Amino acid sequence: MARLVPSKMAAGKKNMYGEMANDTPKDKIKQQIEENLKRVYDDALNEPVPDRFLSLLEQLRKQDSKNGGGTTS
Amino acid sequence: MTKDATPSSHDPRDTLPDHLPALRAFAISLTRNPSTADDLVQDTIVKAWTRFDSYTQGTNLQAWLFTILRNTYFSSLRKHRREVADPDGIHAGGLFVKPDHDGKLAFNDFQHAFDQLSPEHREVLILVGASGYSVEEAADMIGVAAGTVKSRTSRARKRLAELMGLAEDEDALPAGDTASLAMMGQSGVQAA
Repeated sequence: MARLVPSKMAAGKKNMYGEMANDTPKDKIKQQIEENLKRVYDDALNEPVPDRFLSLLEQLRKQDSKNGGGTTS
Repeated sequence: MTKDATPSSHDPRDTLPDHLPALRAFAISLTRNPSTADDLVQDTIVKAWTRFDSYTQGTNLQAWLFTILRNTYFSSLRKHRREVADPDGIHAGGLFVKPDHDGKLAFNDFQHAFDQLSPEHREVLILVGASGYSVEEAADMIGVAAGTVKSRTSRARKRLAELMGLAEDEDALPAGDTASLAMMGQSGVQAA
């Protein structure tokens, strides 16, 4: 039975997030969780960044050069 | 014309746009709400800009930004939680989603379960699992010990499995179950 598989089989792997597939159900679930987590993050990562953030950065930069931007320019 | 000794191209603030996608991804993963996430990113940018002198050049800028973002989020959450009676109970006892017969989780089902996790659990899973930080780096960002990150991560994974109706922890099965099922199976065969 799966629950009798020694847990040592899962240990000793260099990657704690089990990219190397193990056959125990526990490892499979873990692996699927990791894959799905990666997808949650990567989907958000691949979304286009709204313009408001770039204009915010520009605004901050301008503000900075106004206040105490010093002698530059 | 006075030129600075360090050209402006060496100003790490110039690289902030490069970190926007990751900041948003972290914010979206953490809040599970696009508009809250974008407000959070905006606050993070302003805070980062105004305290840039506390950033140590040469260290991981993204980790520094992530730290500001999560601190901002959790401190606003703490304020909010004082007003909300049962913040973690809202989604408690949500739907259990069973995997398809091939054992693969549908991504929508996974997202549904992920939404129901506490933000603290989402945080460790995303930092360590998805965005590729080490346990030690995540511990620094969260401000806890590495051991705490490890135990929180495993609790979070377990909770996620529970929410999806999967028993990640095999030991959670009652000890007698396998044997009694086998016996029932045998007697069943004989009776049939």
